[in-house]
This record gives sequence, C-alpha cells and structure tokens, in this order.
Amino acid sequence: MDLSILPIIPIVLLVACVIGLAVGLLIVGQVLNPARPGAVKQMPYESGMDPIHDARRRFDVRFFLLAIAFLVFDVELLFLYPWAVAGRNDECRMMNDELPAGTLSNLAADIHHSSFYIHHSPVPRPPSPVPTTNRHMVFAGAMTFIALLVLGFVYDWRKGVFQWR
Amino acid sequence: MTAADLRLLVPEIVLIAAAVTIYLGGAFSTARRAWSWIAAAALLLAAVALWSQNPSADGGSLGCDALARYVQWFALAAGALLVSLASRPLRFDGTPEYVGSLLLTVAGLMLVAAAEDIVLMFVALELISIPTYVLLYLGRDDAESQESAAKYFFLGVLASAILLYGFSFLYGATGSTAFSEIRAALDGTTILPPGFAVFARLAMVLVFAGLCFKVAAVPFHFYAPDVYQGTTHANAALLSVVPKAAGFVVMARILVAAIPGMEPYSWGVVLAVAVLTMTFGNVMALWQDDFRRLLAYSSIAQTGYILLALAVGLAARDAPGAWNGIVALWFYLATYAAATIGAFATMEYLGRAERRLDSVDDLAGLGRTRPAAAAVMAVCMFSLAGVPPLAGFWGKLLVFGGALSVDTSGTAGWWFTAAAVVGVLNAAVAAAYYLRIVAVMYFRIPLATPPARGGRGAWMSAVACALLVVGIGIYPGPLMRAGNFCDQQLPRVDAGAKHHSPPFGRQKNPPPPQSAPQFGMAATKKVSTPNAYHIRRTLVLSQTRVTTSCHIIFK
Amino acid sequence: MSIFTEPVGLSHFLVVGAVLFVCGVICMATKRNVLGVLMGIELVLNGANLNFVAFGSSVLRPPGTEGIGMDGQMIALFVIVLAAAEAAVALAIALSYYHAHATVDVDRGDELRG
Repeated sequence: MDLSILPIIPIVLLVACVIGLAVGLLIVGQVLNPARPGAVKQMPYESGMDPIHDARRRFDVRFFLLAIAFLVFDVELLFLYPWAVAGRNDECRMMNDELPAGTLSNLAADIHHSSFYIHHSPVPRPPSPVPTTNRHMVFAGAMTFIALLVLGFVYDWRKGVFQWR
Repeated sequence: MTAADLRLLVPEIVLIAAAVTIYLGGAFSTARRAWSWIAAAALLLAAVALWSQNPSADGGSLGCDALARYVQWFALAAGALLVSLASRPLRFDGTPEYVGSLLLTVAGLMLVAAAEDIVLMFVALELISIPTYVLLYLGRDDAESQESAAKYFFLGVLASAILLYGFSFLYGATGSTAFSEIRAALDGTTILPPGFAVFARLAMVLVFAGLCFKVAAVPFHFYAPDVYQGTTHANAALLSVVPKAAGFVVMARILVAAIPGMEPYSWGVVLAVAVLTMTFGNVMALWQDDFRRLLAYSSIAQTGYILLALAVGLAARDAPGAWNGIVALWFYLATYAAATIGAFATMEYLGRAERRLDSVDDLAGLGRTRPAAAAVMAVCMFSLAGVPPLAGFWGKLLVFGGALSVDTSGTAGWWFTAAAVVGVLNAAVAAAYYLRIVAVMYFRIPLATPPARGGRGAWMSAVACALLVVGIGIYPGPLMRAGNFCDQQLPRVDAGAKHHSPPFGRQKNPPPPQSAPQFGMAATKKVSTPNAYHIRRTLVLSQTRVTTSCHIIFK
Repeated sequence: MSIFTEPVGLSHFLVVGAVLFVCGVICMATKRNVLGVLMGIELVLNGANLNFVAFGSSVLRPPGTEGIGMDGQMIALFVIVLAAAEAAVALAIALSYYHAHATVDVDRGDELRG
C-alpha cells in the first residue's frame, strides 16, 4: 500500500462525514416531516417578518432577545479555537511543566510553538517532551467552559427567551 | 503548579459557582429570601478558603502578595456588608439576579487584587463592571433609574476602552502582558526597541485616565452624582466601594509598581488630580439636598484624599513605615468604605419598600424618633468628617502626615506641603456638610417618623459598620499593620527585576543576584500554561451568565 | 520618506487604531441615539484591539527584535468576547430606556442634575 496517502485520510474522513451528515439530515427531514404546505409557509423569509414592506420599518422587539442570545453564544465559541489548537500537541505538555516564569505567554506560546509552526520555526524542537497530566487540565477547563455555556442556555430556556410571546 | 493555581482560585470559584447557582435557582424557584442566605454562606465559605490558603503558594498569573491578600479580605468584608444591606428582596422580579451579580462583583474585586497580568486584570475589571451595570438596571424600575443605568453604562464602557487602549501601549512598549516583565522591560534591564519608551508614558496617561473614572476623580467624576441619585441605597453603597477599591488596586499595581522611572511625571499628575478632586467634591457637596447625591460628592472628595496618599506613595517611596503613603491609601480606603456603607445601610433601614428616604430633610429629628439609627448615622458622618476618636481621623492623619513628611529639600516637598494644607482646609469644609446631617438629625423638629422597615439585614449591616468605625478608631494598629506592605510592594529603584526571557534583544545588565529584594508584585510565580486561560475562560463565562441575566427585562 | 510612501509598518497600524479610537469617542460624544453610542463603543474597543494585534505581530516588530508570541491576538479574542457581552447588556439597557422614556435619544434622559 502506498503510504503517501496516509496523511490525508483524516481529511477524507472528515469530508465524508460532513457530506453524510448533511445528506442524512435532509433525507430524515423529508421522511419524517409532515407535509402541510400553506400560503404563509410558502413565503420567502418565513421568520416571522412580513417579507414585503419598507426596509426601514421597526422590528419586533422580540427579535432583539434572540439576537442577544445568539450574539453571546456565538462569540463565546471563539475560545474553543485556541483550546483546540493548544490542547493537542506535545510541546504544550512539555511546556506546562517546564515553562519558566516570565515566558512570554501561556496558551499563546503554545500556539506559537504548536505543531503547525514547529516545522517553520528556527528554534530546534526541544528534546523529550514530558507527558504530564496537564492535558487533562486543559480538557477540564474547556469542559467547564462548555458546561457553563449549557447552564446559560438552561437559564435562558427557563426564563422563556426561546418562546415567541 | 496547576493544582496550586486552582487552589489559589478557590475563593473566587466558590463565589462564582454560588452566583451561577443563584441565577439558575432563580430560574427554577420562586423563593425570594433564600438567595441572600446562599450568598452569605458562599461568602463565608470563600473566607474559609482564603483563610486556609498558604500565602506563599505559587500561582501563574495570580499573585498572592500582601496587597492581594489585604484587598481580598477587604472585598469579602465589603461583600458581606453589601449582601446584608441588600438582603431585602426587590419589589419586582430579579432578586436572584441581583444577589448573584453582587457576588460576581466581589469575585471580580478579589481577582483584580490578585491579577499579575494585564489581560487577567482587564477581564477581572470587566467582571466588576458588567454585573454592576446589571445591578444598576435591576435596582429600581423607574425612569430615573434607567437614566442612571444608561449614563453609568456608557461612561463605564468608555473608561474601560480608554484603559484597554492604555494597556495596548503598555503591551506594545514592553512586549509582555505580565507585570513582572513589563517592569523588567521598563527599568532598563532589557533593551526596548528604539522609540518604544514613549509608549510607556502614553500608557501611563491613558491608564490613569481610565482608572480616574472607576474611582470617580475629577475630571471623570461627573457621572457619580447622577448615578447615585438615580439608584438605590444598596447600589450607591456598592458603587462607592467596589469599583473604587478596584481602581486603586490597579493604580497601585501599575503606576507604582509596574511602570518604574515615571515617578517624576506621575506624582505631579496624581497630586494635581487629587487636589482638584477633593476641592471640587467638597464644594459641590455643600448645597446638596438629596442624600445620595450628597454622599456621591462626598465620595468624590474622599477619592481626592486617597489620591493624595497615592501621590505620596509615588513621590516618597523611600520613606519609612507609616508615612510612605501606601499604608495611608489602604487604611483610608477601608475606613471610608466602612463609614459609607454604614451611612447607606442606615438610610436603607429607615425607609421601606414602597418609599425610600431620599432627602436629607427626611432625617429631621431622627435623634428623637429613631435614636439608635441616628447614633449609627452620626458615627458614620463623624468618621467621614475625620473627628478624632473615630476611624476616619486616623485615615486623614496618615494621609496628611504622609504628605507633610515628603522630603522638603526639593520642589516636591513644597508641593506636597501645599497639598496637605489644601487637604486640611478641605476637611474643614467637608465637616460643614457632614455635620449638617448630624444637626438635622438632632436639632430639627421631626416631621414624620421614618418607617424603619428596611429589614434586619440593612440594620445589621449599619450596626456592623458603626462598630467597625468605632473599633478601628479606638484600636487602629492592626489595620495599619495589615496595610503596611510597602516593603514588598515598592521595589527600590536599584532592586532589579528577576526575569528569565528578555523579550527584546540581549540583556543589558547581568541578572542581579537572587538575594536582591524582590518586589512583591513579581514574587515571581511559575507560569502555568493552561490554567491561566482556564481562569480567564471561567471568568468570561461567568460574564456570559450576567449578560443572559439581563434577558429578564424582556419578561 | 513620509508615512505615505514608506512600506506599511507598525506605525500605520497604530495610526489607524488611533483614528478608530478617536472616531469612536467622537461618535459616543455626538450621537444622540443609544444604538449610535453603542457603535461608538465598538469602534473604540476595536481601535485598542488593532493596537494589540499590531504590537503582537511578529512581522510588524522593528527589525532586530524577536517576535513576542501571540499574546496580542489572544487579548483581541478576549476583547471581542467582552465587547459582545457589553453589547448584550447595552441592548437590554437601551430597551428599558426606551420603555421608560419612549425614545432612544440619550439627551432626553436629563432628570438627574444639580
């Protein structure tokens, strides 16, 4: 078997999964969905707004509520990117233990030294990474973060933010 | 490292977890009185956790020097008094959100005190600000309240942005976010790129301007009277204590410790602002009739005295012991906080849910109708005025004594002597309006007996504050010693910084011997990689909780 | 060589950041609509953000100094999230302001003075 294809196997898998998920969801929707077409449902932009009117009309204030909820949850997702990059490399594990005080940054340094940069970095790769338990700490941190987001979601839900009243 | 780091955070984690619990509990339960008890239990638990911490433990971007400990205890004490003061449920929906936000501000103050890094410090400051906006919104539901919330919000965000802009120059000049490295870069231990040193000066001005808002100093004071008047007594007490304490912590950390070599410029700026602030506050307070508005101007004036102490701290860093300004700063802040919370708590206690006491005239004849409340209020007013046996007197003595003890050989000494004279004159002016309140209480005919239905919590808070004021006044030694951490706080100029990886170029000087006195700020910790971010994540997340809590208004 | 002809460097970013900052402050000072003031806030915060990113960039550092990691970008992330949180609170406050005053004109909130 030709080994040169190995590095792109994960990408192929990812693409396959994405396509499978999208197609599968469409099919499931088609199969399970009761088909009740109506005049209102056929309109474009059926999100509660009358699609044909002056563009400067005032929006219903209830849209603001959803917008705020979306804004907060959407932006919080930003923090998962650095976590995903930094939590997964050997350097991170090593640096957790050996980072001297006064090194430039914490997670940022991880990204800087992460495997993505390591091949381009003029600094030779430090020898013998020491595996530690700190990866678990990173993981626990991200999970705490997500758990708090879920709690926020529960709060919104209980407060009736998602109900159109 | 990471475990130790987490252990250092236990008090804050307890508070934030309690806040989240209270928010969620409020969404599931309709209880009204239980939340204050949960908050009190959380504060007690946090105090136990703080007590049991090893003060010499290592922490990443968290410090645990004497300043941090002092302010953390201060935050917990103030938090307990405020929770007790605000223990009466709101008249409308939102009590759990109110109590939870209160806990978040306390946690934010504790984190500001411990932050050793400008990112963590900024996020912690926002952890104070954002719940404060929510608190202002929740306190009352009339037009005045909305106006004051909007004013405080917009000016508060502007101040945060100015502060952040200053931080960006600090970061740019030194290439680091850690205070220890910023200091190392600025005191010449490491070489800056050419032309970058000017950024540090710019940063100093911007940071000081942003913080002047937090502490309500001239010319960034103008929001205070409106906001205090438009909100509740409990919120006014919070505003006059928590953001101010945070602002002074950051000033002490950044101006005094992290930006060396700026003292010739900075003490002048701080001194000028101090004199302007105290004069303006005292003069404007003279003809106020609204109680909260009067105390707002009073708090502006008190900020002026504390800034004078800070200026002394910048100019007289080599002075021994009690006269170096820093002791005075922290001692004064504590006495001021006790007296101010006491005054607001008394007012809260005297009113009732449907009708607050707003005007000074409402206190007429209180000495006859409610003698105990009048006594508490009188103690707080005398302390704020600086009448001898009470705590405020020792605070003023330390501040003015420090200003007079600045070496008179240079021009600095003359300026400080002049400032001390202005300060003493100011204290005399201030006595006029503080004593006016006392006179109204004891020498005016009572118009109506105040209902005094503010709840036991407010009364307990008021009495505790009065006892604190009297106790500190009689026995000020322990608090003064607790605040006397200048030896760790202020590095000598030649102390040199301990640093490991110079951000720019080569090191100019060989590293100083390790026996050189270390400054407490950079009692350098091992940086623990994931955890600092874990902390920040937790922080920002708890802010999400706050922002979701504002959804309540849509109900 | 003037700032207009030299290759784009750190100073250009700082100038743009300063312009954003000042525009934001002016916007906050002159807009009468609450949402306009909110836009000013975003401009101010992003001015500071641009500074952080520019200072943190290893490309823009003056030659001869080594890069300083990715702290700048990380701070920018935090500020973006904080700005979102503040925007959420601001929208809530604006809405309740509207309820109380029947307008979002900030100049109409002038009951507290003295």
